[in-house]
Amino acid sequence: MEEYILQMKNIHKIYESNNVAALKGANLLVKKSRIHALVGENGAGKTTMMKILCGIEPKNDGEIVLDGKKLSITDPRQGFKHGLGMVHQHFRLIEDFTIAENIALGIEKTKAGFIDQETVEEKICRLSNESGLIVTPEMKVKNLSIGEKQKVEILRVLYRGAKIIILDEPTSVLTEQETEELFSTIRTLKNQGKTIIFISHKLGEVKEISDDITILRNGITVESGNIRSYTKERISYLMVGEEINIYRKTNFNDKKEKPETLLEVKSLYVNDQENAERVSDANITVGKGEIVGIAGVAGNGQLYLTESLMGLVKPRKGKIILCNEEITHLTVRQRREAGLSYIPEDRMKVGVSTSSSVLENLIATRYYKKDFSNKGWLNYGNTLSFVKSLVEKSRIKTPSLNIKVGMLSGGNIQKVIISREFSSDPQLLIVCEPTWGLDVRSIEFVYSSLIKMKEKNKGILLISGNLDEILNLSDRILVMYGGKIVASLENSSKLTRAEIGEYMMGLRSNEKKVCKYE
Amino acid sequence: MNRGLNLIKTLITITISLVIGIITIVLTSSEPLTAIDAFFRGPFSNSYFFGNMLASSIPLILTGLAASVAFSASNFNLGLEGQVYFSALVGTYLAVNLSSLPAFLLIIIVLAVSSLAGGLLAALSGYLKAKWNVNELISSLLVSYTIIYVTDFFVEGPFKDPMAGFSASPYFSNDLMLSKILPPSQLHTGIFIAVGIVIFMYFVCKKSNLGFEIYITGRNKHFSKYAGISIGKIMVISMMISGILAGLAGMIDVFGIHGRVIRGFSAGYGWNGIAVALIARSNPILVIPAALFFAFLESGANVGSLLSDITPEVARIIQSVVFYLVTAEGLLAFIKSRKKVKTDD
Repeated sequence: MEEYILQMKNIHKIYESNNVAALKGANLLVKKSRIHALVGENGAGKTTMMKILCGIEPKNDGEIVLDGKKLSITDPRQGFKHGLGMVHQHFRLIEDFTIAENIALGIEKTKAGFIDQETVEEKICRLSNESGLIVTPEMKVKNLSIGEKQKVEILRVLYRGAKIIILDEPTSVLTEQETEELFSTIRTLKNQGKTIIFISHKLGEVKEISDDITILRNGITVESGNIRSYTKERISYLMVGEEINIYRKTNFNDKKEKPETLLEVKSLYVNDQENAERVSDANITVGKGEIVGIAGVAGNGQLYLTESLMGLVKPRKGKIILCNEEITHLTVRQRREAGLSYIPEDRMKVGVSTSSSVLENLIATRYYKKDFSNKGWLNYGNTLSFVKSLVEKSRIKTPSLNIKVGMLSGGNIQKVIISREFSSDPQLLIVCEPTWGLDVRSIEFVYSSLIKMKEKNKGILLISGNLDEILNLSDRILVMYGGKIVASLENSSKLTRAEIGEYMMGLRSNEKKVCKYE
Repeated sequence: MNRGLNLIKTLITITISLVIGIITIVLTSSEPLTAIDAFFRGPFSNSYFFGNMLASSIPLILTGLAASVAFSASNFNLGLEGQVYFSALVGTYLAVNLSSLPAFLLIIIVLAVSSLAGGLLAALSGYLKAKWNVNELISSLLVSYTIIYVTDFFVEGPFKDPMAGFSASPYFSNDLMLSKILPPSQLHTGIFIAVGIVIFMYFVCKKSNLGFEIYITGRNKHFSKYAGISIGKIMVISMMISGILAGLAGMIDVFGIHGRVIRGFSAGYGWNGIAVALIARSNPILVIPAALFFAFLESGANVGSLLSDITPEVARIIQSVVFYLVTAEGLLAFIKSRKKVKTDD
């Protein structure tokens, strides 16, 4: 029998701040030099489990045995000493520092009180070569892409001599190509004898990369074993306790005549703050009862496009027409009143104010309206009853309306945003990465909400890097690459991921203007 | 729960600073017991001292409120001191030169115009921030320093009372002065105006559209903008209100006590207002007890220096300890809350 390098037995954890029992006797047994997947819904306790392992959070009960020795650590530095390294979902890098500085931060080698830059860079280069994580040590982190930042995070963990590397949902922020790169890195590390704990929601990836699997549900280990003995369906079933079919197909057969146009974008150009062109000559139409998907690798102008539609960024040129009225020069509030709603990509920074209450977040787009305000003074009675009904209708799980939104789970935060944006009777919804980082149940809520709006004859512009999402929901699919819309495709059962993928990677283009240069 | 915890933290802060104050007195005084007694009980020992203590709390209530409003919108108005002086100068100038108007009307006009002067000064920093992202902390501070020198120039030169042996403007008519309460102390009816303004601002902050907009923008301006609030407008308005309140602090002090603008008449009202707002955690109502506490320290030290051998600077030491502790604690809370957001599951 193979030796377990790590054993976590009967772990209990109760968060004092909200008295929630995150772990109720969870177990995790990991073999040496294996890739071990830890899966579970949001809030199942995966991250908590890993934080306890690394000493970031204290446990209430249970036992951890590492390399045959009982382990009790209380702070992350001790975790590093024992060879435990965690790559967090949200990066913890200092943007203004170089890659080398970020990697060495906290354990700098010094020469007479000064940082020994050469030794540090030498070591980074060696690690970089061994692991296949190629970076330029003297580059500043703020100039890196998300995939590169993740490489820096992994190198930082390796730099500290980690033997067990924990990756917390590492692919949720990556493009497909970057994911492939990450997987080859993971395999290289495994071959070098490292043990990897891989936390993910994406079952396809879990099947592809891992050797063993542990499934958590509600703070308890449900099952554990070799990945080969589990199908995706089985894992999904164990995670949520019931089968949820998230792959709902849109019916392609009900194609009638062209729907009435709701939104029309005419040759829109958007520049960023440095005056670089981010969107060039975008032409988009969305009709009533239509979902138009915009696929694309993150950073190809989608954010600038949506923000300029919403009025958060000024376009340089072009026209935006909603319900036959030009809205190009309207303020955000005027656009909202004209019938726009927006679910932003950055939920925590833009979509909600995490340090404000549920009530304040839900009322923030309409507090000034007649029902809630009289001559500049707020009517709390009406506000309260409105928010209450909204919370009930959308089944937002919150202990109170006065709790800060930041205390809610990711799925519930998205519910707050969706219920607010969908309840204003919008004509057109701009929806960006609506299921990013959500668990299966929350994804189900998002999809059914979108379909309901479509059935009510609203228009939806869906921006997503998740191709399945685009294919499952959209009537028409546009692909953005390098700030241009390079393809406009009717969704049909014949359309393949591979075809869209080629447009996304800039390998193909059906826009004549672009073709001319080839 | 949170509120109770904050109260306990504030009480601990105050206790620590008072203990340090006592230690300072013990170390510097030859008769520490008399000095401590004078310091703590002095302000309450007779109506004269008590009245003076309340009188010195009036400008602090208003500057504390001024700082609170700006903080709520996440703006730092460090120009309170300059706004206090500028308003006092403008108001006194009007009061001296429009003396033909009926007193009541003139008081209203003077208060309105002078506070607006302070408001515009602060609004300038808000506008620069909204328009060109100029840091309001720095711009308000720099404008404030300049404007204090400008005020000094006027009360030393063109607007100097030739009869005064020091830098001060001419007196305006005595009819304009706010009536005294508890004479011979300096306490005046301005305290009712100040409390009234606090109550009004409480309702504005908690119950009005504008208050909601200020609060939401202060918490997260990306979200605020996305929700449809004009954050540029809120920056300017919140700074303007802050400046107006600072201006009222200056002019009401002039109407109540000095009867003219004097170089250095503000005993750090602007700076102490920031500390008051920090102790009050930007809550308009809590500004009153916080301002009273600062006024008590000031009076205690003054009485102590009259009745024993300590210097009024003892008050400064205690105030600065309070200031350090409150800011350090505020900073800690800020770092913690950031961590919490980042480690959210």
